[in-house]
Amino acid sequence: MRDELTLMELVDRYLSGELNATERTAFEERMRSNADLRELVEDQRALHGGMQRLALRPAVNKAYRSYKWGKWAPGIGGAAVIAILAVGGWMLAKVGGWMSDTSASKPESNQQELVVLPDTAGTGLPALVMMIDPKADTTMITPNGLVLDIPKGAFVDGDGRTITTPVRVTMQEAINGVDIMKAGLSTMAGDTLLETGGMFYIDAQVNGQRVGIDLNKPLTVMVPSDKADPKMMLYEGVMTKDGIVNWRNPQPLPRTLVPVDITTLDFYPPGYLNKLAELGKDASDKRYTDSLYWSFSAEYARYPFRNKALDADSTWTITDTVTEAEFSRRVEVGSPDYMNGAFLFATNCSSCHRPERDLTGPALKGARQRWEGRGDIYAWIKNSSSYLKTGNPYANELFRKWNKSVMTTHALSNAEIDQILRYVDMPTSATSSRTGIAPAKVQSIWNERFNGTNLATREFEERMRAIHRTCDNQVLDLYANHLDK
Amino acid sequence: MSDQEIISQLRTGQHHKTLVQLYTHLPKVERMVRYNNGTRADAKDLLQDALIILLGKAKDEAFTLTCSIGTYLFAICRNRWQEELRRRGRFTQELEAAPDEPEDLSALLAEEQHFGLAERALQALGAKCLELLKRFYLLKEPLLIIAKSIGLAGEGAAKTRKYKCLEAARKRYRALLVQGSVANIQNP
Repeated sequence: MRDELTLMELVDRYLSGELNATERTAFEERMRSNADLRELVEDQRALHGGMQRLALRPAVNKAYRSYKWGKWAPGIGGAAVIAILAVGGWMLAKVGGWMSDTSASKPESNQQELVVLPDTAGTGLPALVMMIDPKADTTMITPNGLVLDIPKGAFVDGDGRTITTPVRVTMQEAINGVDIMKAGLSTMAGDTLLETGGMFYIDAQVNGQRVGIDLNKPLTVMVPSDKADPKMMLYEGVMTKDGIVNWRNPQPLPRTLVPVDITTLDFYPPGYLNKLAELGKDASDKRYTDSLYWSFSAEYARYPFRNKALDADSTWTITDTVTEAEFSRRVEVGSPDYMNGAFLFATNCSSCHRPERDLTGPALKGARQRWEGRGDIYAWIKNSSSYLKTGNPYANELFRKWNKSVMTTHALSNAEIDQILRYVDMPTSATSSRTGIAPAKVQSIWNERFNGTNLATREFEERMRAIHRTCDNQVLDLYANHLDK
Repeated sequence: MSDQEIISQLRTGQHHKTLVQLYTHLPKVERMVRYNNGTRADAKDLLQDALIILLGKAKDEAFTLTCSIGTYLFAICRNRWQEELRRRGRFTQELEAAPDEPEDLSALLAEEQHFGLAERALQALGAKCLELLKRFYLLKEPLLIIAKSIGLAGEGAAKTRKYKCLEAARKRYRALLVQGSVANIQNP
């Protein structure tokens, strides 16, 4: 161990540049031929660096605390917090973002020069008063949809002790432009005009005494909005002596749902892209996949793209309301045959045919039955013009009937044709609303117009998969109609 | 305060106010992180690491900035967050860089990654070990004095102790290195 000890000291001296020129050259020479030594030097260098960092960390942490609380330190005494959501800019009253902001004022800062908002008398806003039990979590939802979340033990008294007696919480809100104007609230931050997403005021008292908030258990306020504006900030309101509110200390808003570019998300039914790739189609070309998917819209009820795995975890399959026939249909709907048939139909036939109505060509439902005993339906589908030449009367009859339009040739195997024909012969569901999410509905929410909304989030992408699984259009409607929640 | 003034302030060791001021870059980092699968805490850790890197660099007289401090800090955070995303397997695309971002960060970041791991290794040491190493390497106190203040018999004992501590840290550091974990931005 003695040797290792000396060696380590030597490395220390080398790293700190204490070796003289000859020692240094000798040491470096040794390093060149000795990998272990090189490693030792590298490690020790890293440890020195690590030590430097360790030494600097407290200063950085301390600065962070000053930074963080410096902003709220001159806050209002007690738990009265009045806040505005605003963007620097115009005075367009507009709905803010889906925001949850955590606002907490420091409990024991007594700032004489700041007028603690008295009781916001004169604003004429209805005050929502509630006695809450601070020993339990409380969530309040105001008539305008503001959600106030008070965690258990959030309130503390002057000495920092958690309050257990009932607390009287007063809330006032001015979320829309009319309320703000009527209450005579300004949207000025110094000399700058703000665009507001709504204002709220919260006060908490015990026996007429304002209480403090435990900084570790901040209140959360969520402000309803259809679109999240990334520039929205939380301002703190200070009432000046002449009764005008000045907004200051803008803070970025924490967001629970972060919108991303909606076009980068995947709202297809689960398995759709994989299936396409499996079939050798270009699943990365969104224009193609979109176009194919939307093309199912017309009769989507017949093309519920669900893969087999889904049935395992979907709970709706067997319910009392499902008839025997419907049940057996659904079971078959989940089969790979059905999936393949649907895809083959969609990619080969759907430009001219529909299962149940005539298009450029006849409705395909029952085609196999119609051909029964009249000719070879496989040869006909594969290459209609050469089959015509065989002089088959039914083929010629069809050809004349459909304005002598030639059916394209199809490179399909008999088995594949079987799948298609089985697929088109499948009975249609009586309750089509539960057979899949209409592609048209998906299309209507999956575009740039919804960028910035809750739909354009990773979380909704996840949710979308579940929605597809429910196969119930009403579920999707529920989401689309409640963007602000 | 100009960037050069900030650097010289950081150099003096009287840097509390300057550091607080540098935290004004936090919202920007937060935005970048939160739009890319991260949390506010991630952003804070990133910026704190970047500040530590800057502090370390500022001590070096030869250190000059080729861009603004804000850009420098952001560039470090951006690069490290990209690394972190790769590590978590959530990397999708390059995060957008500031136009005047310095290009020669890779060497610095690789080095800092090692330092970060070493820091974690050191943090795992006992308080006494840490105290000893800090006093010896950072405060450059003589071993005899260190020995007395932490209750060791003498210089020899302190020396042996220092060796053992450093060796333990090194072992741990090696283990972290092998784990291949990117210098974790989550510091305890």
